Amino acid sequence: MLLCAAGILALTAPVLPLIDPNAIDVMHRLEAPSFAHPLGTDNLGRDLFSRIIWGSRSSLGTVAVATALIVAIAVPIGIVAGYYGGIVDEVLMRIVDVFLALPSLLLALAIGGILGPGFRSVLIALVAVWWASYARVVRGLVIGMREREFLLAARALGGGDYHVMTHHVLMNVLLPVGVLATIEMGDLVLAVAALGFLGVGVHAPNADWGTMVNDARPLLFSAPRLMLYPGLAIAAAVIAFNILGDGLRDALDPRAGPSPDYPAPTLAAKSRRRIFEASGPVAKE
Amino acid sequence: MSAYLLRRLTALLPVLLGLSLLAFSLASLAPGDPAELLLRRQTGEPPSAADVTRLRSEMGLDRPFLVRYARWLGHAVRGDLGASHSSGASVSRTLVTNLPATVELAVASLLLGIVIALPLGVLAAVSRGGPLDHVSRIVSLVGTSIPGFLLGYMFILFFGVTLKLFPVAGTGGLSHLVLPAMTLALAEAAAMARMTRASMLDVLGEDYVRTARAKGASRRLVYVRHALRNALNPVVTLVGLRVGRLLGGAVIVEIVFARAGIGTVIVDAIHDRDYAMIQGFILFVGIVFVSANLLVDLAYASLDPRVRLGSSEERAAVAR
Repeated sequence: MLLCAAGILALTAPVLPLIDPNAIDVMHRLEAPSFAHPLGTDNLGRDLFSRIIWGSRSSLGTVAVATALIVAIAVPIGIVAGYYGGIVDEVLMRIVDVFLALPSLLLALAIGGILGPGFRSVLIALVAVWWASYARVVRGLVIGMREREFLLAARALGGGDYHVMTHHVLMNVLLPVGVLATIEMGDLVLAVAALGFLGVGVHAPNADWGTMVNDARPLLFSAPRLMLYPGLAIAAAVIAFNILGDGLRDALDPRAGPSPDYPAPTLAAKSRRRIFEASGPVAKE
Repeated sequence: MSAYLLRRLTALLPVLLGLSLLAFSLASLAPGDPAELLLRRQTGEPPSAADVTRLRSEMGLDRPFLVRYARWLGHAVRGDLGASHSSGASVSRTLVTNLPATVELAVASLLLGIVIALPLGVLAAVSRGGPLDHVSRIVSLVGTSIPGFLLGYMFILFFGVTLKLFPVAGTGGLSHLVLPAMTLALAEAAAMARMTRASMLDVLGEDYVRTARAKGASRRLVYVRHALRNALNPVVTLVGLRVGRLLGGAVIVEIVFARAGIGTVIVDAIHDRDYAMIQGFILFVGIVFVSANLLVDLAYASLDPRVRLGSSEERAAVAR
């Protein structure tokens, strides 16, 4: 619900009767919340409420585009590795190992730092970091179904490798990948915010939650709300994604389902992370 | 045990080699010519083409990529990651001298996280479905979702400014460590508390717990002596898996609290477009991360013989 509302707000921001988020009004700088400015104004007199709504476009939009790119890159790689096995798998997975041998935020930070701030750098950094774990999960799924009857049947019916991979393997991978993507989105929102906070985010003057927090740092003591509200927006988005992701996982995975012993939503998240990171840099098959 | 260690170490070699290639090629993707940037930085004005060409050949930038990579790697294995483009200081020395502060923060947060998480997880498991369980779940959800910088600044305002309990910035004695460690510990505690709870619930259903109760052992004794001890294995695994997050979180916390550490180093390097430092940082952090993982695995292997004898799948099964 919260996410739908946020998504709609983000999409419709240009047509909403909001004050221009980048309009500088030095006469009304650092104003306390009022009817005209529900959350007050920042040090340049820009409307904070409007900037948070516009910032959701940048923050959530980056995550959405990044997720699409990650899936588009990682799924084919994972399928090829899992389907062919052998040397192809070995080479691809050693490359994945290298990307998983770095803490994700630090690798994203280094890549973003080298490319310079901006939307494109953030996007490249996220994709470069996250494709590896997706590819590994997809590969695991494909290996699990390699000897299943429906694939053997597809091959026995004369399906070529390409046909089997695109028509049969892919279809069976998409649902778990969708769940995975939802679960990971909370982490991506946090990563985008962290990059923005560390100065590698979307350029000023455009509104972005992480960048807004970073910009508000010098005003921490005089106007903490400038930092508090964008920060809370980030937290709310991440909480919403985490609840949604865990709920989806519970609904679709009967084993981790909401039995009375495991009602914990975050337990699913933890075991998911375990799957990811356990197959990290040093694991052998 | 030594055979296990050897196996693990040989598996690391290709990863480290790939890591070095990644670090080196990333830095060469940087926009702009390093020689020109360096000259511009020294003189403050656009350098002449002749100067750039001369420096390029001095720095070996006119050589093919693989030659440059091999030379860099040759120095790197001897612990020399080159000189910082902005300050001229040794990259490896800068990183090594700043690492202890980050490790101190990470270890303090981890310990604090354990101190918070174990009681919380055990109590949540014992009072399953009760109010305490719900509180613990909400704390966990918020703890894993709240950005570290927001929490850090809230702590600064509340504990540092309003209550004036702790210093809010800088590196120093134990009092400087309290707020940063608390900030970082909350996310760790949130994750660990959930794992402790789940794992306790698993163990409490086991026969030996029932047997211990039937023998007349008190509830408290069974929980602590029998159940918790066996429930800890997955928690130890989780700690190992979160090392990467801990390092990433430490960077943010260091910036918030203006603490010394490798996080401050990398953010400064990014600000100065110091590619030599960024490149060295990637390799260095990769090595630290991989070694930390190895240490956790070794600790785990010494606790549980199935790990060092069996495959990783079995280990995962144990963890589950």
